[in-house]
Amino acid sequence: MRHPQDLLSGYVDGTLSAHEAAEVAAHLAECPSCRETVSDLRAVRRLLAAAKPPDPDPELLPRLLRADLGARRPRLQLGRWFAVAAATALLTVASARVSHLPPGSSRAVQELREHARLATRTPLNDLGLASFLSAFLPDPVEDNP
Amino acid sequence: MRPLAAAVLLVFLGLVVRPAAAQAPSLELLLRAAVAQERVAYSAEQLLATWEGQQPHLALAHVQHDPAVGTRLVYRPLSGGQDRRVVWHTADRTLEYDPHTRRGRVYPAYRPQVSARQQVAWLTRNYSVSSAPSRLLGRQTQRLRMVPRQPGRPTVTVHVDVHTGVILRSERTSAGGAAREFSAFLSFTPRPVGWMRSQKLPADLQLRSEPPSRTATLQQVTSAFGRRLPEVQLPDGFSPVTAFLLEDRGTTVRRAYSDGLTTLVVSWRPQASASPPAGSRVVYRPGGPVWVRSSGLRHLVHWQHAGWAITLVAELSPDVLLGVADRTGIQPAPSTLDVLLEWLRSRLAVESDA
Repeated sequence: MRHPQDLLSGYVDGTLSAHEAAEVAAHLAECPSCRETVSDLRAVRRLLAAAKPPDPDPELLPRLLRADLGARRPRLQLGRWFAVAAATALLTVASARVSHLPPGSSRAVQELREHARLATRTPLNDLGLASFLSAFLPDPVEDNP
Repeated sequence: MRPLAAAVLLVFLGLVVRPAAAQAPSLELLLRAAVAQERVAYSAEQLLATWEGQQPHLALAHVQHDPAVGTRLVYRPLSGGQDRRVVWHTADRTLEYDPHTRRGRVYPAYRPQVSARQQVAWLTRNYSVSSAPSRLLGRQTQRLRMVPRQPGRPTVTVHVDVHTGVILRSERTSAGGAAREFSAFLSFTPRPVGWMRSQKLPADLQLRSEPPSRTATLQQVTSAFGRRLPEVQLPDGFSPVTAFLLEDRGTTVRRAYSDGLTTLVVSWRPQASASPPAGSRVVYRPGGPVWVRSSGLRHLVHWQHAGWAITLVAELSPDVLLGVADRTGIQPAPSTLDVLLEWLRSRLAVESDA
């Protein structure tokens, strides 16, 4: 059997058929080079499995608490509500220009994907990485042109 | 590469970059790396890592490449609970599909209009290149480090296999060091060109065809939209690598630019008011609002100018991209009165239609 490079990863993952796995195992018994590759692949998987998950964002708990407190805040009295509304209206009218924020557009995902696709054809760009970025971006929801 | 062509190119690059003598070996290797995909066939296992803030995304890719056929990549994500994906690049199209459901999409391949050699010439103008010998996977390699000459661009380090020119390891780090991307071959086997000829695409795929873009000149774009595209004031050192790409539905025109190492894509859409990208934050510039969204090393900026919505995506810092918006021109945010009048106009139009 020639070096079964294409099957080694599947062998480590346990996704080969019984016949293929037996052929690879027989080859490994005689081939130090492939044994070394398998050993590297296993080491990478062990490393990734043992990797400590990232520490939680230290701001997360305070942010959640603030959100929770916000949800439990008692309702304002009606009179105070009118006062706040009137002040807001006055401020809005007084400001000459305001930020106009229509609903968010999902075109951003499409634009990021187009960038990744165009980058796959740049000679010194990593094809594997650029294709990964394009293939794993979620499908954008259709929105208004 | 023919010896004469190589010699002419090296002389040309030597005129661009000084000191030429010190950089000639790295330049020759850069050239070989730039054309390696067109000449070398191989199979490999590749580890990929990208970071989104503190969140890493990891994947293993089984790569099969043959200049006579294309590139087949099988991805197994190691984080994020995502499904597997297969990507096939051929000369004229790319397929992306889930190998279990057999569903996916297909779209035409972009064809860069400039040669790899031209891109290397740009690279040496925009980045300083240093090299050192290294060794990876038991092979003789050369580590090339490319440091930008201007702020806001990524620093890139690649390990190039001396015998084939294939990049075995690559790392990109953003200007501030906050974002990184990394890829490394865990195994690499050169193959004879043509070794993938017997591979066939699966026949039972259900692929959604994405609308193709057609290439257009500036005059054709002007005629399609009935007005001129506003010129975008790009950072120094970026040159176009595609023609204008007009979406089939005629709603967007796009063009890609490169500084030899990073890609910048500009999109124009005729639009009366800004439609900020989902998940973006607004930044108030002297001219008006600009929306910014980040995705790892890439940043997207979006703004309104002269009746066009302009979107830029590049591996450049947000400051550099915001500078592009400032120089190009930003349409001020509409006033409350403008919004009210626009709403009234739309109501009247609806009633008159009825």
